[in-house]
Amino acid sequence: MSAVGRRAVLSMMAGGAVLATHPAGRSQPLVEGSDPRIRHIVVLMLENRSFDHMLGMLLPDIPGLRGLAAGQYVNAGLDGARYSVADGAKYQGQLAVDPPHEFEHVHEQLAFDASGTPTMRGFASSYQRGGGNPADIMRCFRPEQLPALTALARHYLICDNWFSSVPGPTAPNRQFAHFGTSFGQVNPGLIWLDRGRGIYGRLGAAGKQGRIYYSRESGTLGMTFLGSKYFGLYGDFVADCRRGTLPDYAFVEPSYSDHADRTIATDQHPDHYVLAGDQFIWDVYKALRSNEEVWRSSVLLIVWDEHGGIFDHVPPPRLPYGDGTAAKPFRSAVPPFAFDQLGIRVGAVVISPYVKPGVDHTLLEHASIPATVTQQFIGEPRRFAPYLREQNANSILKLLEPIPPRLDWPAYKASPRITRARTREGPASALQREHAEELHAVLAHVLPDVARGLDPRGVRTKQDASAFLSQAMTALHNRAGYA
Amino acid sequence: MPRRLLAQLVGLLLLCMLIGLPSRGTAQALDAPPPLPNAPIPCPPQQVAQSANPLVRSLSIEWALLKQDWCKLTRWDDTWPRLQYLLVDVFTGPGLHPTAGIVVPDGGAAGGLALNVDWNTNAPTWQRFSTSVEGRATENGFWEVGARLQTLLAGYSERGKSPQVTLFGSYLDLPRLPYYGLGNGSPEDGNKLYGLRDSAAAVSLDVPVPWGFALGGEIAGLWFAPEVSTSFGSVFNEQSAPGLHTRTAYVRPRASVSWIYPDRGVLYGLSSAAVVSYGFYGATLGGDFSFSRIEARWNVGFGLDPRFGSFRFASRVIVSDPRSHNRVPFYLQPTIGGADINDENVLRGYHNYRFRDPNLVAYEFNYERQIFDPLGIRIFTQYGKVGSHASDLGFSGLKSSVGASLTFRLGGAAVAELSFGWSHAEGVHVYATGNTNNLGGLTAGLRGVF
Repeated sequence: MSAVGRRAVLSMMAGGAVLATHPAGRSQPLVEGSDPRIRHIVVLMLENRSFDHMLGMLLPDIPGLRGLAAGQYVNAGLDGARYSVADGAKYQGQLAVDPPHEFEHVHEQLAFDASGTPTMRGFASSYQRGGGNPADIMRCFRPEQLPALTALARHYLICDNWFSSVPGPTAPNRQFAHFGTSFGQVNPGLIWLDRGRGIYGRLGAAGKQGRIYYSRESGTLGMTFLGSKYFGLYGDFVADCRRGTLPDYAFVEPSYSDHADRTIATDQHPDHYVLAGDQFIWDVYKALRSNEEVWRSSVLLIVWDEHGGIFDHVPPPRLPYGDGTAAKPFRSAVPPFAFDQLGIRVGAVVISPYVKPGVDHTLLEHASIPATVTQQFIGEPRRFAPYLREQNANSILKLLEPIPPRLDWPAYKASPRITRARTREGPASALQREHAEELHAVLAHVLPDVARGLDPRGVRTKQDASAFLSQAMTALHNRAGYA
Repeated sequence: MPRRLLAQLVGLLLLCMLIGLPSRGTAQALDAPPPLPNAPIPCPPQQVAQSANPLVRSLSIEWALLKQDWCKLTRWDDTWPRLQYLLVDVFTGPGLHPTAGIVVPDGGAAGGLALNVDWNTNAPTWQRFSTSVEGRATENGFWEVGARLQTLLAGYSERGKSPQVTLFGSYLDLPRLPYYGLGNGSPEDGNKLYGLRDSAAAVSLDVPVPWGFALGGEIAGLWFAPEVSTSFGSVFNEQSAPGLHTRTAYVRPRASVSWIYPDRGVLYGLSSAAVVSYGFYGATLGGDFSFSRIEARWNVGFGLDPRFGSFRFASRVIVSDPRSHNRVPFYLQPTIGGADINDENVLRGYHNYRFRDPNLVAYEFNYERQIFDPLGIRIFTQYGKVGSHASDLGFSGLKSSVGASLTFRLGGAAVAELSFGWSHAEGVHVYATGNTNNLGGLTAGLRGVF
């Protein structure tokens, strides 16, 4: 079905329901191409985790997902040692050295081949060069480790083709989320004066409202230098959801640091406690569900700003366009970059009463965020977005289905308090150590080169045992042609 | 350019030193490392040595970051953003950083160094901790050193907050602090200077519990050594300045209950916070100076749209109860007027440390609205007094001060304030205050002891 036809059907099916359930909606002129059911777009942007790291191991659960399995991909370290993708990512303590993810590091991680195609083979060496343990950069969370994210991902729509906008760090990627551009910089500074007000100013000019809700300190503030009226605290977000006073567009920021007032960081940035961020995801979802009218008229996007130096297996594509305008393209001379190369893939889950469970492969990036907001509340991005990347970005509105609003809840095992995972901690059992020795003996016979790189005597904890068995079994499966 | 050449040579030398360190690899050597793409990027990624020692790791990573920042500053496009990155890495994050601020009010501007290190970071969450060591000094001879160790017990969380254990130690040398005497009637021109050396060591536990409450417990050891001059001794005695010749030491257990509504902070609508603490100062040195102290604070705010402003009421009561035949040493009595020793402003139209007694009550009403973002204006009126007994803390005889502040607002909250306080008795006084809660998300790195 063409986009126009689909929108027409959506309008016909949903318009009546909207007018019936939202008295205020009667006076709201609809923007062409918007979804009449949607009155609020909410974005929760977390920090520095790749798609595979957070969602990749949902592969067996979600048919068609571009995920992975342990041992399926390999990176080489600086000395040529081989590091496979494995499960066993830890909530905290594994990435104590922040994985490098500046522009030059991501360049190394992409590991372009002679034809200029990313091979995704430079993550381990990059982390090793930065002082970390290269094996840890290849680890992924098992779905059960992230109960909220997993429950929402299974219940709503995963976007497995969402890329960070720039192969670089936080700042330019978040710039794309707020401005639809990074103004030609791959690694910009903190304060943006004389850059306008991005999507928030555009909304204001159209008589709409956008607001950034932060938790004690705002990361956006330093990049946008927006005025006070664009900000609220996270408690205001919860209250606005409950009261039905949520603005048209809400951008939610987690807490970025462990504070002296006992607040725990919820942004999931290495090496913050990932489970706290998972619980925060559920908090945001729950706040939106606290008012059924708000829920019936909302889209919530959970997304990470960039991959944070952590492995993902999907090569980010190049775009047939750059950024800026046709007359004045944005380019960086040193380092050379034309803004036509997307960054590493990040997790994205679209949560709305109007999505079906599953996975969508539409190409999306952070410029899709202001493009979606523009499409919904202002008009066609090709007309109202100032720069090329946002003008050409796909909108998540296209992912909404012409279905009755879903009011069912995900199967989330509500844990009112964070509890640490116990299953993989503690010393390895005698049986596990014995099993590792036996498996090593088999490897020594079948794959002596692999066996030389594995030392069963190093298995001391349950975590070690799991990693050892994963590596060994992966090698054996590879030999048997399973992967 | 010679400077660039020199930087390159130094960088190359350091890079060679770092690359020379062996890297760890437990797996088999199969593939060569992926080649960097054909077009080289100026300032390629640097090699950082792996180290199990957190201090070495923090410092080596910080050094690599600074080198990389400098390289980019000199070789990449857009000098201004690069300079900002360099400054961010100089002042924030783990490692060694310059710090700035004050030691105490009237002590002058202070500068110093802080060393922040996260320890045991590969251990389970409840065994991880961070330390800060900081020293700062002023040109007036005030100085302080301190150390703090904290761990968040992230295995438990209540509404986004976790229990926290803190170990803290500090030493302050304050050579010249003004003392005006006791009570609300002390003369403005009757002040004398005294010195104080103040040491503290404490361990505390704060536990969030449901409905916005938190419970706190602390045990502290405190040592005080006042130094008074002959002229001070000629004006004041044990009656008018209890403990002026006495060094004291205390063991102080303290418990507190705090409450915040809503339990997630808000800028708009009604909000409130309260805390009540009880501490017993048991003198182990210096004689009859044991006392207990109850301190209570209650703040209420109501925020409208920034264009229309916000209202706030703040109150504070301190009641000290000496054991029989005991007294509260003058240097442990709370003060109002200007700023107190913790840099809290009450009665801004008076001098710092102006009124002092074992008991205190203070109120403030203020209203703030934006002039044009990011500047706002706050008008305030403050009331307060001190008393030798708790029964003195009624509403009669309150001293008052009014004033206005120019506020610098970020994210809807005032982060810096230039105040003009006026009182009928002592005229106009000017104060600059600030907090770092919302300085562009940089707070995480601006971590020091004080």
